[in-house]
Amino acid sequence: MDLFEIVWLTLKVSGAAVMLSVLLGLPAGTGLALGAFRGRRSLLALANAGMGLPPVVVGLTVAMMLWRTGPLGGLGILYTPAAMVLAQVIIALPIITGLTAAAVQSLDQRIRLESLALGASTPQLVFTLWREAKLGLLAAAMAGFGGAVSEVGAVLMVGGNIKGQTRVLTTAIVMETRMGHFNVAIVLSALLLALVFFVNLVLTHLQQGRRP
Amino acid sequence: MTATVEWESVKKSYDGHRVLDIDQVTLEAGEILVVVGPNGAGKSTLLRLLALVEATDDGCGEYRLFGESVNKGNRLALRRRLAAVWQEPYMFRRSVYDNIAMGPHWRKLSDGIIGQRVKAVADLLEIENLAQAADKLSRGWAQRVALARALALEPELLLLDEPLSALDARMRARLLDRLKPLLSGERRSTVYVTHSEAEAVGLGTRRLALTNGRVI
Repeated sequence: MDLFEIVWLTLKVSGAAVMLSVLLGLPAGTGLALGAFRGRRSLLALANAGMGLPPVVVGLTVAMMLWRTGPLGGLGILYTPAAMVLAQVIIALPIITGLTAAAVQSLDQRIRLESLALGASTPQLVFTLWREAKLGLLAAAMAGFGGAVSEVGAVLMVGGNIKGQTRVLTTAIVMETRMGHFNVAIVLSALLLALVFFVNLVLTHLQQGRRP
Repeated sequence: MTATVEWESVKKSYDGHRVLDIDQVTLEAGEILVVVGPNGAGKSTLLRLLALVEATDDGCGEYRLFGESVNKGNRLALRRRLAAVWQEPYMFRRSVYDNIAMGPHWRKLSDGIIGQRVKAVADLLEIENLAQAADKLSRGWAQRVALARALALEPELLLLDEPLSALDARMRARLLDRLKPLLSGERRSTVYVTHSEAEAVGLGTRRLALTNGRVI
């Protein structure tokens, strides 16, 4: 077992999933927070409900869509890291969208008023809101990463835990435990915890700025 | 000369309750209009509508700002020719310098010009520590920075909502003396909202008294 390969793939898959989820969830959450369109409340409820999506259900759904006979079967990505990223995006996206909406909605109403009066265009206003909501948005990214990297059911179903190809820390821990290799499973668990801690340390550093 | 503001039938409601109903608001170029009235008279609402940061009710008359009819296509361009200071200004989580530089930066002015403008308004309003965090300032200092932020835009229309209310009487009188020459001129008109009769006297060229959203 190549430990470095497993850790690297874990970081790559969850990192890509969180980056994609931030790219989609940040504008979506901001739109839900600021918008005044019909169906906004229902979409917000959907995002909030999505924060508790059972990973095995996500895994089954994504697997069915990616089967050769499924609607996305033509992509041919089942049992590849791409499928694992897709499954993790479905898990992380509602978390990041919902928490972004909450962070932006809880901002002081004067920020919008002040920015517009200072001559902000719409993109300038949105970037100002994101900057003012930095604490909440980085917390959303951390929660999204936590949800993605700790998830096992979905990546096992769509990735298949193939050695050297789709084996990540969580799926390796499950496999080693099943095989009775508890010592290996404990070491892998410690590595996963260290990885989660390190990523959150970096994000917390960004979040807290110069505060000790 | 083109009037700065021409607006007939200005109406605003919140949750079905009419808070502003004015037949006509006009402001000539170079004029200072002082708006007075008790709490809840609609003074701040009028200022927000004039600043194009809040939507009016249906059925309002045409708003002509700097001679142009306001519409969706020119709102941003017109908004960039005015500046506003609110009674409780918000300080962004960045330095005092960056707060003052925000508006000019959004207008894509060069760093050199922005630096000159920030220095000039900071000197005028006796703001010394430009590096400190603006969101930690007292209300009085926040009002000074907000004034500096507005003046750095060199606006043609200045909308001031009790801009000196948090300052002590001595500092208020001192800054008002410094501000007066800047409130009107060839390329500037001002709407100045105040509670204080002392401020209102001798400040404006015209006065508008509001009560319950109506002119009295």
